[in-house]
Amino acid sequence: MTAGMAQTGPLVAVRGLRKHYDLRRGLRRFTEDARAHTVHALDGVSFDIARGETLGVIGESGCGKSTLGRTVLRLLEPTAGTVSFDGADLAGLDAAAMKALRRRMQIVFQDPYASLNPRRTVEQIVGLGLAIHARPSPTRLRELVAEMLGRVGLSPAHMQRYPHQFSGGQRQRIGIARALIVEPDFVVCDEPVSALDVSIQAQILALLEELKRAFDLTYLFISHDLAVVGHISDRIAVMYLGQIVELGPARRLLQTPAHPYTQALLEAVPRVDAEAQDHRPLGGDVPSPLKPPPGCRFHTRCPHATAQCRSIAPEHRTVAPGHHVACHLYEGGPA
Amino acid sequence: MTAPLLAIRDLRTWFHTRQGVVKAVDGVDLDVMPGECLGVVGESGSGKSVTFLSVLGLVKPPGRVEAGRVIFGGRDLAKLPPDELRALRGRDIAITLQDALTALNPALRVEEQIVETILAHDRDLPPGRGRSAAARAKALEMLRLVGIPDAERRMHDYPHQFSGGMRQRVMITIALACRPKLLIADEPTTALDVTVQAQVLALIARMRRALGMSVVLISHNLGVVARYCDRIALMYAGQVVETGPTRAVIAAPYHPYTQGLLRSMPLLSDPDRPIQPIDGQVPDLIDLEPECRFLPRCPRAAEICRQPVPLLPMGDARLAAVDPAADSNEGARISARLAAVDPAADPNEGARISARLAAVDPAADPNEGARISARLARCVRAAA
Repeated sequence: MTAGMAQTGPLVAVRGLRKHYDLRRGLRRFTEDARAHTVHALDGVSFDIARGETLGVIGESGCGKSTLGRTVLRLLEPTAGTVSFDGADLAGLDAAAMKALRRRMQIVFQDPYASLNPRRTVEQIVGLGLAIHARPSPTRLRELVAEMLGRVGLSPAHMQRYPHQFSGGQRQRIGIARALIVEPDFVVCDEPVSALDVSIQAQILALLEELKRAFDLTYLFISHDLAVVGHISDRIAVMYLGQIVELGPARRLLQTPAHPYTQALLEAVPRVDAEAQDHRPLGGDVPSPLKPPPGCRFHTRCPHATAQCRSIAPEHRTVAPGHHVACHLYEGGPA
Repeated sequence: MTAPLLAIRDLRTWFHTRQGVVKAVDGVDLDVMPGECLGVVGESGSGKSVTFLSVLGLVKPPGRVEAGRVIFGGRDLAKLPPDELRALRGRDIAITLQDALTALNPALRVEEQIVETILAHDRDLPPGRGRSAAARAKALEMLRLVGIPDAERRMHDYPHQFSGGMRQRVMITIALACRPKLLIADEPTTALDVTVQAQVLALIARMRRALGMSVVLISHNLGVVARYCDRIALMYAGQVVETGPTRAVIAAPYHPYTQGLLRSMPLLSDPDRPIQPIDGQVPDLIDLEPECRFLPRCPRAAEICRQPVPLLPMGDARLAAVDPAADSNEGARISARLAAVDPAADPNEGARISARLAAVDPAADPNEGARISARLARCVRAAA
């Protein structure tokens, strides 16, 4: 589709990405200890996304998955680490180069109610990105918006309507049209279906899959719903407290999860397609990202935790080709 | 047959708005048996919450219960004087609401909120000076029972000091403080993470066994209901479209909406299965025609669907709102027996047959029924 597609190598490469939020305001920056007031939203995250791939990111609230999506797009400045897009390090780009790249990387937000300006018409919302990046004539712009709306299953006749005149599913279609009209290569989908009812969720998932094929897209698909991520992803990264604890091919990861947290997540999901099995739910809550536990961050809830887990942070180990897990239980090969 | 603990008959709750009359609940029939867990599933606006708020007389204007009977313990709650209904709420029927942070009083310590309920409803408290202390002891006992760690200290905290899962436990504590016969849990885990959701649902299941109460679990999540409920009722646009034993309904749903819902869900066991969305969207509940409300989205819609649709017995304690004119009992019986006899049998086969019979499909092959019968006979032989 673009010159970039001809290149080899991953489309997105993330290395050691950290994002910390300092909660101290004003003079407190001088009077209070930084360590007690820093939220470790992302703490050393590395992965690649191949061209045309969908990488799913799963995790519970506060695990840093939304921060990850935004930091990858450089909507947030990372505290440390690098993000390369199509070979270019985003941190090294000047404003003009960054703007040119922004056309190629877009985002679809979770909340179709909050993410659309209530005082703009659909035509203005969907057309704005194109007006900035491609500057077509007004007539041409209108044509392109109409075409894009048709593509996402909305009637071009509704271009002059405002967001409140649409249902949740239709609004999410508007959000998708806005992201795709600039012909991006890479789209971060941040919980795009979690605000929607099941039957509407399926419509949007089917639309995202269809558009991916039609426009050769690469997705970073963030969700808390394992079944949704399992369905749409080629590979899945499982996040816990700002770190990736397991990363692997979707089917393999769902069938033979290696990390105790992934196993617990899979067990906790109530399913329609399995007999009711007796299971012991994982105890406790996710610890505060203000004060992540030492050693393995999952050790406070892990049924298999040892003394080693409480003191030493586990490195990523290879369970199988392309399947990595950060867990001491896999010391010296699969347990 | 035992009498139901709660029987709802032809309940209609309408909201009179400036735009017109919104028929949020329009002719709902439901039974809750003693000790059972009934799952009520539906998408937003299907009327599942309003149905049970109506049961408790908690619908506020512009909403109004227009018609229907709500029989609980032999009494019609719709005809009960307000003070008697109020005495019954909290003591015999309790409800937990979806958002624990807004449902709890932010300015009162958790202890006060539990004690308040116990003092208002508990008949076993000693009179006089020991009354308040006894209520406090009961509150602490309940908090320990629902698994709040360090309960003695935590009961003096305010709601905002608890995590989402712990807040939901506090709400369950208040609801169960007087050991009700029926707990209505309205989306108890919607705002919670999946590992915490599992904890809260396991707690409700444990308390149901411990107190021998009935539970109505209202949820938009078919998976939650499938795991925890004996029976299931699916609601669509203010009406119940299908009810039955959970396993049977999920293995071989009769109603096109139930079928569509199951086909549109991604499955963890088969992530690559293509999902088939239901086209269109839920109808506006203002000015509805007296026809099947799923008609505009139904892939099998026929002329007969323009008539009002009652819930029909489908055998095996199952009901589905399908074509009243069709003699669907045969197909229903066959699929029910097939599902019961041969768990390995393709459950869709029976469903397909009954569905086609139900829709009076003119193209239905009469031999198909015969083939199923033959298959059933084989299954029965194999089982014997």
